[in-house]
Amino acid sequence: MENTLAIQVQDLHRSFGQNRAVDGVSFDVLRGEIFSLLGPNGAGKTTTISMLSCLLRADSGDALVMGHSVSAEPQLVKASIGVVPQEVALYSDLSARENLLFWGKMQGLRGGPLAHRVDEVLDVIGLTDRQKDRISTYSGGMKRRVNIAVALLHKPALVIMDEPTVGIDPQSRRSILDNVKQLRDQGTTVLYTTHYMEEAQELSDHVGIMDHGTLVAVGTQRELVQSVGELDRIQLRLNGPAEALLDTWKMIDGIHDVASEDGVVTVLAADSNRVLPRLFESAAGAGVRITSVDVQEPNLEAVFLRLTGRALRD
Amino acid sequence: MQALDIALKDIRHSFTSLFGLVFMFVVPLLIVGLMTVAFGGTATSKQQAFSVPVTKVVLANLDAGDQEVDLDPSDSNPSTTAGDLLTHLLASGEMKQLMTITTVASANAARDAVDGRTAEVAVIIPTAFTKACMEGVPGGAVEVYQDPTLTLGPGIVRAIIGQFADEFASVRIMTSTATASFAAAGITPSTDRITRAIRQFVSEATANKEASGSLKVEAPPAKQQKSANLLATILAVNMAAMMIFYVYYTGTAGAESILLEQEQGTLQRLFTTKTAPAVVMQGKMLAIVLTTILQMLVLMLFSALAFGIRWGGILPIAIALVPTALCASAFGVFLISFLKTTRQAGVVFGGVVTATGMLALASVFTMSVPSAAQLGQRIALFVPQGWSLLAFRQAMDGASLGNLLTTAAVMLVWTTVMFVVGRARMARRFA
Repeated sequence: MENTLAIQVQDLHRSFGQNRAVDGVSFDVLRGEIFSLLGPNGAGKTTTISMLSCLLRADSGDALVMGHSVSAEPQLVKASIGVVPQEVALYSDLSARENLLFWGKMQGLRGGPLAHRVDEVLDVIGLTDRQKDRISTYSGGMKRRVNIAVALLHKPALVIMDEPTVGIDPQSRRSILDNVKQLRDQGTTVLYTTHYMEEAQELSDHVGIMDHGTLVAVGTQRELVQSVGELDRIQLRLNGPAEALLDTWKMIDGIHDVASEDGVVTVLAADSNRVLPRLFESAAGAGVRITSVDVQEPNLEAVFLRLTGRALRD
Repeated sequence: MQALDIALKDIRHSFTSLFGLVFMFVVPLLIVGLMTVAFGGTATSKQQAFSVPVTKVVLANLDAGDQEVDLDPSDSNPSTTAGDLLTHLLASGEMKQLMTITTVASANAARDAVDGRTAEVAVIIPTAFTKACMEGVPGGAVEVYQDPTLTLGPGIVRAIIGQFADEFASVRIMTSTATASFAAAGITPSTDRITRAIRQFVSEATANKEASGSLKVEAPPAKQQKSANLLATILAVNMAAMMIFYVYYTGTAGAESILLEQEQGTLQRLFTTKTAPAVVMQGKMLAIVLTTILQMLVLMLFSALAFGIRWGGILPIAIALVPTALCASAFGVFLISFLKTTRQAGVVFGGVVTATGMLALASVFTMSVPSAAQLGQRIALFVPQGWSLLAFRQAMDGASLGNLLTTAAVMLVWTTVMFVVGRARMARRFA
């Protein structure tokens, strides 16, 4: 099991004065997956990944990153990770290429292999043409892409990304999200923090929801939704009277409620995939045709709301 | 290797900053350059330090003399006057460094020469000059008519004439007193004796100036050399002081880059790389040390060429320079470790670095005031800049290697203490 884990976090604590920034956080991240830490600003996400990237010492607890303890073997941990900080951390008076060459050297790369790798990452982020321009002349989105490229130079097994899409245009965001998925496809583990529910939903294999320094829930999106008892909402339109069907549908296992209003039947179910075939069967048996179906699965926003009593954006 | 990469990156940043370049090189050179200009030229031992301009003097000697007195019977003139003596004095070889004399026949011609700017000073010796000198009668004042825009040349001419008149007056008073004393004692000295006494004075004043010491207006070569050396010393010490003052600024500015990188997030990012934090700090420190060494080398070379400053031998200078670079760097790390943002650095620049730099300059400010010089030197040694300045002064003065090494050792102690404290405080911040 341990070989399949990229990260094992064990009861991490970190306080700043009276403020408990991280309070007993534990979770595992599988190798080759995208694990998102989702939570509002100030939830403790950045403090957590700062400890995982050996930038902050934990007050107590430990974490194994690619099998190495962050407290006992920080240099081994650092050698196996690439960190994308929340703010762009580049030298604005250097060009993109000069930045990449410098950061590559800091990761122990030299000479031909470094130059070759710089060419590769410039190609990946699509900035080969502007590689000789100073960073200070780049747009926010371009800077973000170089910021990510720096973390990929030494081909780390784990990339830690701290809100890499904050404050950028939709096109650059799309490009970054595609890059993240591409990394996973290449076998790289990604630990991704965000307060954008849509990003976590799109990217994540597993999600950890953080609030006030604690990890309030961990799992796949499905598991999280189910764990808080949120239901799928199925809305159907029929070509005949619905009244005859309503009582029948209420009896189907897995359906919690059925209501009809303005010609639209709303069904609340724990798992829409399981109940939909039975809805079609019973409608056909009653001689009624279902003309449209709209399934709304509960999202992470709803989960967060249920778990913390407030919305993500609060 | 990574430390060198970091250092080179930082050095490049320092040397591409216009503000940095101005503070590192332009300001200290400008200050010393202004001082050099203010002191009237460059000072090397081969050149005259203060070059007093030669004053063009036009002289009208109208002195009618005294028929009874020939002040210099040794010459062919049967009735040498005080005006002749003064003319002779002003036109003598010793005065050639100070003035050129052209004689004219009348007072108006002399004044016209000044008005027409063909001369700068007109000296008009009145008709009764000899009588005034010999008997103290009024109306014998020498008129000095000058270009009003000039001060130094006319001042020198006035001083020489004044000294000449004073000497005559003193002899006259002396002879009058002696005559009165003799009369009181019932002795009446002959006029010949009195005249001989005056002639004796005139003889010494005109023919034997070396022995007399009277009316001697000279700038002896040895004194001149001393003056030139004094100016060279003042400029050299000031250049060293300015250099050290700004090298410590550079040290602090270099260390400020740690704060700047922290604010930009690049320092934290460096700490997440394979490169150990200690190596990162070594790189930052190396950059500051190399920058300050480069700054000092450029300033020394330029000031040697432009201002003729002699810095001393290579070994003594190396012994002063390297510990100064280390000390300035550690000073910067120490100060910056107390700050959290680059905004606070302004306070440090304006306050601590300037204040400590000024304390070190106390030894320079007081160097020409014997009563305060020792106190100034003691005050300077309360700050590391003072020790750096002492080391450079020792190197320039050709102090013994032992003394220089002792000063360097004290600087290294300063360096160690400041770096250890600064490093520990920074390590705590990023732990």
